[in-house]
Amino acid sequence: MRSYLSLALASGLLLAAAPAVGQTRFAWPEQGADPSRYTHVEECYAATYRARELDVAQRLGADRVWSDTVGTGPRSDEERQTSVVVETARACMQRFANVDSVALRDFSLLLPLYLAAEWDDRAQALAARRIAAVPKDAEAELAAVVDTVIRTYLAEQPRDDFVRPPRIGLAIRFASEHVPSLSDRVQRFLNYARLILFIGEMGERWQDTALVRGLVETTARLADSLTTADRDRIVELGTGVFGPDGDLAVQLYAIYNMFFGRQAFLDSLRQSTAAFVKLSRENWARALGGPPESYGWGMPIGEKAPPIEAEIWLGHDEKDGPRPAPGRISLIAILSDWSCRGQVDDNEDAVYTPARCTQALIGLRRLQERFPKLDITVVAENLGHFKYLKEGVTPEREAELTKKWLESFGIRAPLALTVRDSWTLPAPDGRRIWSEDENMANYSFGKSWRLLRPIDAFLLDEDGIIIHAAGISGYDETFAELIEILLGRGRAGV
Amino acid sequence: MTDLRRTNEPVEELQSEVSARILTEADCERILQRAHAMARGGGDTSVTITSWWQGEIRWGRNRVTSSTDRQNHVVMVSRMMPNGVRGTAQTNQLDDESLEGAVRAAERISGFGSVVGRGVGYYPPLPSYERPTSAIWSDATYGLTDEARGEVARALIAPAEDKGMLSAGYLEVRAAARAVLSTAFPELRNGKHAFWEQPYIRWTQAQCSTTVRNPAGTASGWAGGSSYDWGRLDAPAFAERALQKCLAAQNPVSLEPGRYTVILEPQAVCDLLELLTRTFMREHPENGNPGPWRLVYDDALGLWRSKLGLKVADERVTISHDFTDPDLGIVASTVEEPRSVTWIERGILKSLGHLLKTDIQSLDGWHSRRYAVGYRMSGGDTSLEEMIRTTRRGLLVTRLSNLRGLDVESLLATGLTRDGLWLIEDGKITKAVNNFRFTESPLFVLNNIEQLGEPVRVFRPTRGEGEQLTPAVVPPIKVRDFSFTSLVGAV
Repeated sequence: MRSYLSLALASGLLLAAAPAVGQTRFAWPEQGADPSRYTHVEECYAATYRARELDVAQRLGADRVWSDTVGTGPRSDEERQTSVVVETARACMQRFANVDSVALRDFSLLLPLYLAAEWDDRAQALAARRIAAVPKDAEAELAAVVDTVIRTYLAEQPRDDFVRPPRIGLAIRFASEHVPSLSDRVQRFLNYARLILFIGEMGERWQDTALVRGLVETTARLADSLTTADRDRIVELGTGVFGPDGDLAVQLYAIYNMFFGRQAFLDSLRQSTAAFVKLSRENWARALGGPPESYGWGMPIGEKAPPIEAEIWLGHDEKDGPRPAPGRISLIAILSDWSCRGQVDDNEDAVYTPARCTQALIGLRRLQERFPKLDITVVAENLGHFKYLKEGVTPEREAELTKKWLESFGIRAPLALTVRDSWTLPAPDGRRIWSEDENMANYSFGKSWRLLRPIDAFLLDEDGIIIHAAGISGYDETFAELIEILLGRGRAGV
Repeated sequence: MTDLRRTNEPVEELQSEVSARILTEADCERILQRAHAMARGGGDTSVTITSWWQGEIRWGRNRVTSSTDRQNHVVMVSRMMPNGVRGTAQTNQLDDESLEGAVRAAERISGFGSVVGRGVGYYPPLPSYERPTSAIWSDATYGLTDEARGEVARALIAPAEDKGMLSAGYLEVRAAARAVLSTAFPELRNGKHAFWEQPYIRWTQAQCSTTVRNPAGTASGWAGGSSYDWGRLDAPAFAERALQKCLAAQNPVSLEPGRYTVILEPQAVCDLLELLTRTFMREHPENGNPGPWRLVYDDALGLWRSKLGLKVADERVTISHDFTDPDLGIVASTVEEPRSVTWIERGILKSLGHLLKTDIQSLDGWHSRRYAVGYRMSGGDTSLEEMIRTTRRGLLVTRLSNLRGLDVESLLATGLTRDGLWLIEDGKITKAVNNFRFTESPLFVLNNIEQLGEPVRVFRPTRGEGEQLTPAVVPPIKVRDFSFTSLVGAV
């Protein structure tokens, strides 16, 4: 699109700029790509992926009003793929529609494309053909194929997000049929657990079938038999789901909860906090596979919530009593991720709150609106600035700005801001070193609980006992379910 | 001239954008308004405009080989559609059709991805910053016509030609303007510009260098200089110096490589310091990246320590920048610290440049701090002649070239001497010497100083289109144990 204006001086006169003769203006290339003319599977994959990306961008862009249905939740995950994506996949994949003759070397691309085209029967047939092609003693290959098929059905492979909805039913049937044939029980556990945890995220309606109950039980029994060496292998092989960020113990805890049964779990809370805490702690000990001290990461369920200490309170008068308030169902929402209000950019991104922070704030707001009787306290520590604003930002001013920021997301809960001590490294280094915040320290329970999410929330019963501790998200219903039970308990006089 | 532009604007107004050598502030504002008026689908529009003009003359073998006048106006249009990513497209045609094409292209790219939630929630008013000003515009530079440049070239060629030598050289005068403007977040602005924008600024740069060689191609002398102000460059002096060096460089002999006491002329010092001055940013060592300023990981505090506060050079060395120094005018960014900066003070690493976010998040201020875009190195009062007179055996180096870094922590580098290398014996220049490859580090050099001279402006122009000024004022230095590792055939 550039024409370089280059003027040769013969006479010393400056000529006015003019396009050179014969130059043509840049024109957009032909836009109407026809996927049916593509001859390679990779091209079909790229075309389908592009269709998906454009579709998402256009749907988001068409809505000029900020929508707080951010992120994808179980319901939107279960929606069917849009027609643009399906038609693109079908148009391109006509050339590769014969399952019996397509090249198996393209298996990892063909399988998601069949699903994108909503040719589920072909997808199943291809998976069966691929399994049949695994040589008799090729255990590693069999494990890899099984893993690939399950992940593809669940749309968990990177860039396979045009596979929608996830084919949970297909994954369950496939896992039931083929995972038992894996001789390596760690591989069996990985495949079952991945599927079970996925189902756990999708809601109850998937969990109560006999097939799923059977798989959960099998997974729980396998988990019970894991040795320390097995656990290390699982962490190594399952990074992201079971690795350091998706902590193995936490995932096992979720599996045991599913095994016990979600309703049974919730029923224990309806009965009493003590029953719920006992069950939670038993499952946690089972998930750890050893004493909690050996793991170094505890679980605060059942602990008494420490009182909130703060130098600055907005929306709450300390004369009205401590927070969390005794006798009330409370939610302590800790703004643990400083980058939500403290990340600075020197471009237009300075005026942007990261999506993960926005999701959490909206999740908190929804809880506030749904449960007016829930006592919410937002807790934060001072940063010394608010976003790009630092000059004149005292702790009081920072508290005001933070409160205003929270209110712009509809959160009207009181704010407790602790003013940390700080010191600076001697000049010329001059970096500021902050002391540890008292609330952060207290709610880390001796460093056994990590505060690292945009909003780390603690749900307390009327006696100030912690019932649930997790990050707030835009669509997770766990907090809402538990709050409803606690509030209902109060009404019933339990 | 056929008017290929379709527009409702009076042709005279457009003419001002096309025929002027660089765009004016009003031109840039109008481009933003036009681009935004062409936008569809809402969202924000920004333009990054670099407009430059360059007049140059080049000669070789005593004859002018090219003489050009060039200009370009590069407009990068950015569009942020609602919930879209930033899409950019670039054009250098300012008529409506071309500008609209760039806007459409940027919108299309913006629609390819999504960034949900930009600007959502409360944000306080944007802070305003005062940019420092310094001397960076010269009418003498802007007004040096092609005829005048021709006369300069003639004057630089003549002395060499008279002596039967071959002169080559390059003279360039340049003017540039830059503006980064946008329509984003008008409700947050505290004044006309957001702090990430670049209000219109313009500057000039002049450079002149000449190389004289003998017809046999065995001797070479060079001299040159650069400044924002053509009036500060003494072109005839360059010609004379280059000629004298060439004449003195004839019949060079070969010496054994090894460690020598060297007198580095200011240009050679600047060439070597290039490796050092671009490392003056603190994020690099404090993020644990290997480099000359990383010290050690502090387990107790959980952070990387740098060498700030430690002695890294001879106590006579200070490297700093002062906006008020007329020799050191640079184009400052909006959020930059509006005061002088000293990176090395009396040999101690006093400060390093940093980003805006480092200052706000970790330090006490709310500015960025520049690295050594332009700088002055301290000197002494020892003249070059005195340095030579007090050298029992050493080498006089005109300049260095082809520097390549070898080690990021020690800044060890290799390169070549060129355009004049002489042996000094018992206080006198005795012979011309064939060029060497050296393997040295500016840090080692700055710790092995014996004498320093008076700092002078050196040749340090930027070469890319529309690039900003990088002035340097540097002394000659005498250094012991400078390592030459092999002979080279370069002249």
